[in-house]
Parts: sequence; structure tokens; C-alpha cells
Amino acid sequence: MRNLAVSILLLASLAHADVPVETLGQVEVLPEPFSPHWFWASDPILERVALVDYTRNAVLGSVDGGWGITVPLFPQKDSREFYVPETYYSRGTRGERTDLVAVYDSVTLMPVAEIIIPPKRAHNALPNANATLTDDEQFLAVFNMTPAQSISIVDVGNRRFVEEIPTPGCSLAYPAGERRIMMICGDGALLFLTLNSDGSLQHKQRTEPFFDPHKDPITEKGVRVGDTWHFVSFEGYLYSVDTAAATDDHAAMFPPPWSLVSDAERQDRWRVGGRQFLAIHEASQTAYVLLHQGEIDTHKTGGTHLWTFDLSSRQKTGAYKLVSPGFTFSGVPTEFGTDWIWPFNQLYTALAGISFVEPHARPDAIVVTQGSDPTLILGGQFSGMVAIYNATDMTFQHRVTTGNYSNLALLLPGWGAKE
Amino acid sequence: MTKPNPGSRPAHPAQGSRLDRFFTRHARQLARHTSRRGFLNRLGLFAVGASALPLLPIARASAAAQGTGAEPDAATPQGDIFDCNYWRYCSIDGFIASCCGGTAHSCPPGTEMSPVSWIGTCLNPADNKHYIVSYNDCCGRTTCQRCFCHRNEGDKPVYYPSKSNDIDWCMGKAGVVYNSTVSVVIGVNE
Repeated sequence: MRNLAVSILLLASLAHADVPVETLGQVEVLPEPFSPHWFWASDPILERVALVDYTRNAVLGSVDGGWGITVPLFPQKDSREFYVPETYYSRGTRGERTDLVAVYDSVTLMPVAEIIIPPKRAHNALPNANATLTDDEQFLAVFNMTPAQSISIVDVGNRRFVEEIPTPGCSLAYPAGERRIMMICGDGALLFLTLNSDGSLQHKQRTEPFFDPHKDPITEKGVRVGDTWHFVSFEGYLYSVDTAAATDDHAAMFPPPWSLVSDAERQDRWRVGGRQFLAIHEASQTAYVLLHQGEIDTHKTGGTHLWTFDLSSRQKTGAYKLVSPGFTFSGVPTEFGTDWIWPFNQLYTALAGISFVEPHARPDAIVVTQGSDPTLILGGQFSGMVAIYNATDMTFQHRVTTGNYSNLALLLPGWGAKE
Repeated sequence: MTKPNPGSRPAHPAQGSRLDRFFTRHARQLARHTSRRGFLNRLGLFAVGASALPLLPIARASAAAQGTGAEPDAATPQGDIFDCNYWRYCSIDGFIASCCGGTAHSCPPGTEMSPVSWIGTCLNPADNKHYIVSYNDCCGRTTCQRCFCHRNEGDKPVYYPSKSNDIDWCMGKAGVVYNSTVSVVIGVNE
């Protein structure tokens, strides 16, 4: 009897509901135009990359990328689609391996095409340089390692695999021209691959070595500004490569390196380090670099401080102690206290500061947006969240949750108007 | 290679501070797919440095000769195979197989040892000799998540494969799925 009464009341309340009846099965699409305030954060544990709006602390969507670190490639001329190199096994961790480039619709975040490539894709801990689009955005180059090194060329416009190019002794893939790819070789030289209009190999050009990989290797974490690639060595020297110069004109292609760390600072054990420790704001020619105090072989250790440099004058322009982007608990990002009253709202920052005590928990990745009012995003493998800074004066703004267990690569898709 | 590394820390469950254990647990979760490594031998090293010759895989596991030098006292960190400070782990970045069902030089049941690896040179404090160590990955099972060690002595970038522990050395027939890493002594560095 009571149940009947409850049912009648329920029906009565439904009949007088103020909330309109809604349609089942609705799925959002990304709002257009795309915002320059969006970034992607890659998580190898969840095998995905999440799209986040850092102004609103909002997760907008995600893309699953299979085994390893998912690093999509974003065309700039036409942002309606993007490409994700992926690796899968037919039975999870065993069975037949399939490597492919998935084509995603940028608005719906749905895969719209697949291009199967040789199952040789290189897997490593790098957040970049395992694949690249050429500057004409017609071809995608995927670095292979079996451990024989090679490049797979994909024609993304025509959705077809073109060919595999052997590149013995040379690794990784950086864009370096309309249909040109740059690789770093084990002897400190560079290899350039130039493609024909159908994506087949036109020719290879190899430079003379420009650094000593035995004494002071450059890290793979290069940043490109126009035709120039900037790389920082383990010991903190900035090497620049002008890819527009002729490969046999050593002096034009490789200006002399200069040290980001003074002799006195080196004496104090200041070192660069981290997974993505270099970012550059192009218009102001400002380089942002993560530093810590440590011994030799701490090149993978994240930063306690961030230094800024003017690339034009080669001068250090600032040094900032970092605020921790956050911490995880049992792999789950933590987030509390921001709306508590002062001084309790500072509790999280104090607790997160623990991450600077343990070298492996330090923030180890930065990216900076372009435009007149740049934002710097600071993340770490263990941070759960990322910290947002005003990149002009390096003032801490707030933290943003990505939803990831770890943030191993931060990616700016280059979408939206530059601000 | 003999420098103490501030990055190394005890990882045996019974050891280390509370803070160490806190972050170790997170490190295990995190490092599941993040870094891998290992590769050929001295020959490969010359090939990398000298020319554009293909870096052919060289099967080290079967050729590996076990070290004949004395091992440090097992009661010390240098002699404890569950401790990241164990001498032969000097260039490791990953989960040590000892904590995952294997030993310092053998892989856990059900996995397959990668035939290629990266190479480190570690000082054995018991006899003060430097040994050449092959870091082969154990493949085909998801990450072990115990005893994540991160020492990196002599580690080089990915384009220098024979010394790069950031590479997933699970390759070829072994598949790309990384579980843990062994540290096989393959000779004395004269």
C-alpha cells in the first residue's frame, strides 16, 4: 500500500516537473572556433591523451592511443583533423601487433580513418620526436626502431602508407621543411630526408657532426622556432640548427653553442633536466628552462626552478622558484582546499611542496603558448594536476586537473587565434 | 660511474623512509610504460660513434658470461638485489626483475628476455673493478610495478641506443610490452 502511495506521488511529481524532458543519446562535440587555451596531456598509464581548457579547469574530451605514450600530431593549416600513431596487440598484450596512424575528426574526436604502417614503431620515454608532420602537412614520418632504425612515410591526405626508408645510425624525426625531415645520428651529425611530391625518398643529406655525444650530448627535447631548432645539452649548452642553411655549410647551419649556466652557477651544481625542460616564446625570443641542483647523470630529474633567457642577447633574464603543480595519491590526482578560507587554502601548496624533496616527483615538463599574453603550463609525471603561470612575469595563477594518473607529455595543438 | 647518484634510492618494500615508499608506490604506477632501455655491446657502441652502419641487434642474453668477481656483502645496499643501490643497477631506469619473480640476471616466469639491450659500466665495491652490465628488458607481461629504480649513470639520449635506458628494449619477437629489467654482468671493463 505504501509502495502504491509512493508511486502515485512520484508520477504526480513527474507530471508537474519543471525540468523539460530530455533526449537520450546526446554526445557533445568540441565548440568552434577552437580555443588557444586548450592543451593536451598524455598519460601512458591510461593509454590516452586528454584535452583540457586551462582557463576553466575543464576536461573537454580524450583520445585513446594504445600502448605507450600517445602523442597526436596537429596540422596547422587545416585543424579539422589530427593524427595519432598507435600500437595494439590483437589480444591485449599478446597476439598480432598492429601499428597504425589513426585519423581523428577534431570536432567530434571520433576516428575517421586508419592507415596501417609496418609494426616497427619506436617506443621510448620521449614526449616528442618519435613522429612528425612535414611542413606541407601532406606527409607524416614515423620513427621505427627494431632496433634497426628507419622511417615510415604516410601520405595523410591520400590515407596511404608510402614507404619505409632505412636510416641506419640515425634516430627520431623532426620537421625541417616542406617535405623534409631531420634526424639525429649517434655520432653527433644530422640526417635530412627530402621527399618527392608522392612521398617517396628524393635524397638523403648528412651533415658533419656538430656536437660530441660522448662528452656532452644534446638532449632530444628540441624546440623549433621558424627554420631553427634549439637543443640543450646535458651540461646546459644551447645548440641551434638553422635548417634553411645548406647541409655542407657547417658554419651557417650550426652557430656556436652558448652556455645557459654560468661558471659560478655550474660550480653550484645547477643543471638542466626533465622530460620537456625547454620551451620558447617566439615573438619575445624568450626561452624557458627547468633547472635543479644535482650531480652528473641527473639529466632526467625535473626542476625546482625555472630560468628565462633572451635568445637574442643570450642573457639570463629571470630565475623563479616553482610552485608544485600538485601530487597524486595512490596514482589518483588530488585536489582540495582551493575554496577554503585563508590560510587553509595554502595547505595544498604546502603539501605539494613535498614533491620538490623527492627528485622524481618534481615537475619535469613545460610548454608556453604563443601570442602577446603567453601562458606557461608546468606539469610532472606525478603531479596529477598542472600549474598555470603568466609567462610574461612568471606569476603563478592556478592549478588545473587533467584527469590523468600521470602527465608525461604536454602538447599545445596550436589551435585558435593567437592572443 | 662511481659517483653516488642522488636519484637512486632504496626501493625494497622493507626499506626506505615513509616518503620514499610513498613516492615509490607512485613511481611504480607511473613507470608502467614510460621508459625502457638497454641494447647491444661495445661493438654497437663503436658502430654508433663511427659510421652509418646499421645497428644490428646482437643477442647478448645467450652470450652473457656471468661475472666471476666477488659480490658485496648481501647485508649491504651494494649487495642487496632488492635495493636500487645494488652495485650492478648503476645505469638502470625501470623495475628490477628481482622484485618481480626473477633475479638480478633472470626474468620473471612468463616473460621473455629481450635479445637486445643497453650497456652500463658499474663499479663493484667488493673487488673495486668495473663490470660491463647488459640491461635486458623482460617482455610480454604488463609492468611489474615493484622496485622502480632510476639511476641513469652513463645514460645517453635515444639517438645513442647502446647507452640509452629511455628506449623500450622489448622489441621484435619479444613484443613491446615491458615488464621489468635484468642486469646481466657480461664482462670486466679492463
